[in-house]
Amino acid sequence: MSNFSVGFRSSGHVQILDLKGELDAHTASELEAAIQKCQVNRQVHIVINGSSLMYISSAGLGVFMAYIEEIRENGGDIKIAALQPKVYNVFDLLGFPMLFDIVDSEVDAIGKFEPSNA
Amino acid sequence: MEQHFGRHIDELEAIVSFLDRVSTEFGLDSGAKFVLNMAVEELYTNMVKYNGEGADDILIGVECDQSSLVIHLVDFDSKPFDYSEREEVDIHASLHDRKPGGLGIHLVKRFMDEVNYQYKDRKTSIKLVKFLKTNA
Repeated sequence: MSNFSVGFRSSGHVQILDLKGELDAHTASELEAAIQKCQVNRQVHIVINGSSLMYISSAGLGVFMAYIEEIRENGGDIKIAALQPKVYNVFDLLGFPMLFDIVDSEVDAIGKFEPSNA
Repeated sequence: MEQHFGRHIDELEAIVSFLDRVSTEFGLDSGAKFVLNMAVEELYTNMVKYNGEGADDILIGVECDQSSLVIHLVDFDSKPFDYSEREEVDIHASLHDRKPGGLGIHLVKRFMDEVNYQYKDRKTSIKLVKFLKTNA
């Protein structure tokens, strides 16, 4: 819970956020700042790569909830990819697979933004 | 093992260090450590969020044997708030119909096998139990 970072990459028009470490009530503000940065840069097609995310609590999930409606209203979305099983379990227990596209790989997530899959 | 912590979200860093030591001391596997961190963080942050003006520190204690992990959180200067009776989160609701809050308590109830709440003379005591899988 004490170490967390967000890395930025892009693939075409898709902004990829690489989450690493533990996302908790103390570190959630860093994810919030990263998403806000995307919005300022008008990058609303966002993929979260969770392959190195080892822990998430409700505070981390709350960040996704806080921004998703605004991003969708602006024509974008947040797709979530490559979650570790324990982390996916937290998303699942709160019914997030019903609210977000959660897929196995980053490639699949980027593909969801292709016009034919949007 | 137990330790007192101040009533501020920045204390989470120290709490994580404490829970790391607890996990090492008791030899917890990654699954049990995940549950321990989750339960403590969710309840501690709720205590801070809903009772930030309390005067005293919050006590976090952990006991463990081969069959169970037991977590205690004690707030010595608090208002009553029965976590066990909080309204269930509707996980099937649409984004638009979701009500804020309650996600952390929902997770604690799902991850833990027992959640016991006691309140007396401004003292809130929460005892959580997780039964551990054994290879026997």
